[in-house]
Amino acid sequence: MTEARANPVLKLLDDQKIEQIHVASLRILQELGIKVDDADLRQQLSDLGCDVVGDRVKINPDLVGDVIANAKKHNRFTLTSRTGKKVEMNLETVVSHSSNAIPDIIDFETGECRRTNQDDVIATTRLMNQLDELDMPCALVYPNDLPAETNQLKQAELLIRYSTKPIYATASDPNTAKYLVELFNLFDGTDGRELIGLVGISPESPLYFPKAITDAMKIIISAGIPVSMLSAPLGGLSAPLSIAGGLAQVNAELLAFAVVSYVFNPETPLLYGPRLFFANMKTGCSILGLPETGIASAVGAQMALYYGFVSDLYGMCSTSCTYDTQSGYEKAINCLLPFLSGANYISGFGGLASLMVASYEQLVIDNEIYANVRKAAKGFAVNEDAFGFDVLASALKGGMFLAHPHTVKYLRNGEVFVPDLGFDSVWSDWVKKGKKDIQAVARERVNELLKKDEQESEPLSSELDKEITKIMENAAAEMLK
Amino acid sequence: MARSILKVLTDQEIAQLNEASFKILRELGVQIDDEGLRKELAERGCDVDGDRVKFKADLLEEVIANVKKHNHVTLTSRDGIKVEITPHSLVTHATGGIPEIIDLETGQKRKPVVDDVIATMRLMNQLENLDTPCSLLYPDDVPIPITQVKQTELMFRYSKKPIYGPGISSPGEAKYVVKLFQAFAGGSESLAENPIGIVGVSPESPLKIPQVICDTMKHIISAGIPTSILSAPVGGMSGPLSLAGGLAQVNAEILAFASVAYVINPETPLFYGSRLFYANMKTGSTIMGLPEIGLVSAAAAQLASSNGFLSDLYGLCCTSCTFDGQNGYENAINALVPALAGANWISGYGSMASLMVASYEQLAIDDEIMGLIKRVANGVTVNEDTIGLDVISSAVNGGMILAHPHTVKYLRCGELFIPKLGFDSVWSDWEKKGQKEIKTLARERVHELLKQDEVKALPEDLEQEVNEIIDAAAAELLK
Repeated sequence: MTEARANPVLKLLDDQKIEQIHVASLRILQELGIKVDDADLRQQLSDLGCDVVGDRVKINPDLVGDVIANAKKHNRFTLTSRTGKKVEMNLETVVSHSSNAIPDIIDFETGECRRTNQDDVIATTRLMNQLDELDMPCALVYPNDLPAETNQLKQAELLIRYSTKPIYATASDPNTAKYLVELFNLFDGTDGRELIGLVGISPESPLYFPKAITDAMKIIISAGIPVSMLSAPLGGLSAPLSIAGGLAQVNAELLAFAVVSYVFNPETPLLYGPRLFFANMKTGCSILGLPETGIASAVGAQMALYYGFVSDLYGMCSTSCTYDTQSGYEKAINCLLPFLSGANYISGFGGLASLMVASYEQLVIDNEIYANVRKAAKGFAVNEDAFGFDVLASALKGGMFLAHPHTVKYLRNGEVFVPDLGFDSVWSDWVKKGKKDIQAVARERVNELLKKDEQESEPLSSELDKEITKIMENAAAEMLK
Repeated sequence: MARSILKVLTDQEIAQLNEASFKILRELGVQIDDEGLRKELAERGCDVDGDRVKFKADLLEEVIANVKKHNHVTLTSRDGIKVEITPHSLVTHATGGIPEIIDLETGQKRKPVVDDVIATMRLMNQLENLDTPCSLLYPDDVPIPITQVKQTELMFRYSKKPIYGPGISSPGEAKYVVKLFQAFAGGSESLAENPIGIVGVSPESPLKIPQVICDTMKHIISAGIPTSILSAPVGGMSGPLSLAGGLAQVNAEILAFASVAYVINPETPLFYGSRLFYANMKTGSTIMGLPEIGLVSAAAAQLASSNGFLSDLYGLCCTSCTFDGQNGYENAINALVPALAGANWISGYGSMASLMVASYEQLAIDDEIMGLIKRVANGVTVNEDTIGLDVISSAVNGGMILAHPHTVKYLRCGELFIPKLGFDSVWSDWEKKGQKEIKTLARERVHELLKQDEVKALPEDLEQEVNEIIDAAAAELLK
């Protein structure tokens, strides 16, 4: 019936201002350059026309132009989970993922904040299987009970074992990268392009590519695994405090990352991941609930569209340490801004306290926030049928809107949002139902969903289990010497 | 920067919606109960068919052209505080006439009284992001026939800011409301040219202006009191459920009201007060936290602007009955979406439970939410200085960004939002500070702000004049 129309479009910056940031980033790359520790890589970049001065590589705008033109050819790919669930990633889709490697969690039983462990990774991954608005999990929490050296790899292993959705892994050293590729390769289809997930990799800010990072990049990118380029400076500490300045630097870092990737494998899809954030400048503590997180992400989405990159952005971020109104408004604002601006991949499920504390209940609440944001950012049909002239004419003659087929039709087609978790009635009903706040409702839902996942979960085939175990044993033997 | 940076509707869709509204007005028309007004509209080219008036495009275009001449309104309070409402402004007002309140001391819900109206007015004086208060509450201890008059009096007595007066729906009260406006404005000044506040008047949906509203309009509009046209159908109940259908109807109702107002007094400034909302269709209860509220308000901001109106729209709205995460996301979404779409005036301060329950703490929390939204609406400044190549250059050469003058400069000029109420540190600090949620902080803030607000007595002659108006209203309306 109602054909979809173009979604609402938010442009915090006009095209000219976007161009201005682009030009500033080119100047940063050409005049200041990036620090690259790996001498071989510097040589390769020099061969592509960059100026190398000591350990700095000054990247010429022509090369950046070629890299952007190439990246546009690889901005459409499909991820397929172990169980066959597919996630399409391209400029027209919006996909959600969780936060990653949060070090503490609010214990589901005691409500106390404690260190996270591997059981939490498993339980949160299983819970995320059941969240219909969440497309891809990260390892939401950091398993503190596992060795640091193999931690990222272990996170990926747990995701592979327990997630029914495609996964988002991270790598910051070459060993992790090597075994990640082996794990990912277990799911290579016959055409070699069946991708179970992608990998996030971060350079250092400002403008620095340490050897461990470029080595990890080389392995992942050479293997053709899509990489989210995550540039995450803190405005006022590792980037200018001014939002435009921070964005120009982030953009330069991401373009440099793309240039380096191009050297390794120009076919690998890259995601544009500006993760500029800010601090309480009185204390120096970074706080993610500031509206500037959303503002920077919204402009980041515009920059990505300008280049033709799929964007991967901060979304539901909050400074609040509890399930209060502040957690709601911060998350909504910071998610809605990039969403309206054309973001393709939005993060933030499950985090509180500036991504330092995770929560089971918050995962479920975030699922509801995301649904609300998605509806608020969705267009609606504007055409003769939707104008409903006949229903109005009939009402004026004594007809009932409520009983009219037009009303029923639009109701069934989802014209009006139906809350799945949030309270959807009036005060007297709220009192009757026990005056529950959304945390209490979410808590009940967590239990239901975990039970459901247990019923639905299928064990790994023993063959796959063996292969994964073998890779992990080899990794441990090499990395935990 | 331009205020309208979010486009929910394309220009073509706006044109289609306006055409749909014109068709509604031309073919279905509006029931106008007042015979005299029907006659005057007939003289201006409308077809009158029984009690229905069918509007021609010519008159509508004339009305729209006239509206455009009156879309810069400056409200000035008795204390001299000015609020400018122009096509570029984003100003805020409170919800009006909520029938219940959460008691600040007991936390229990109860009926509000005059003292609550006064206390909430005084609190609103101190909220920096709230530009114009409404009488947030419906005082249960005032006789119903004079409630609107009493609300207006209390607003003028206690507000330091220009007021967003109550919704006026009875001509008997309208007469005294006008007298209060005139008394507090100093008598002789024109209320259209130097307004001290506005009022809201609602037609009935679908497409009806009953006799009492016609008579109310005659008092208010003739006196030149700027008026917000509050068209408030419930989608699926008193308007189509489809969002575009509801908008076409609201747009038609507002244009019809503006035409009637034009006949009465073309100088009176009018606001485009779309109040389209929705229900939980399983139960029929209207719920105000649905994201469609924000979405249709954003579309209405664009429609208002296309017809030269200043918009006055739903903003902070929630279904939640408590201070939880739902309260936060619903309020934020519904206020941010219209704010980005260029809404000029947004509502909602102080309400919970779909505008049926008010709260002192919520007023303070909503002020914080609006602080964030105003920050977002201010956008990002991009120029050579903000880009700050020197800072980046200095940092890659070993300099400290934190200590750089550029950092200090942008910090001081407000590049980053500084929470006034919201928690702004890390978990360990939160624990140290007693694990307070924002409601607890808001409660403390309410007490502080109420202490800060000083109440000044009215000048003696004004006091006497106001008392005479109230006495006269009571004598006439409480017979």
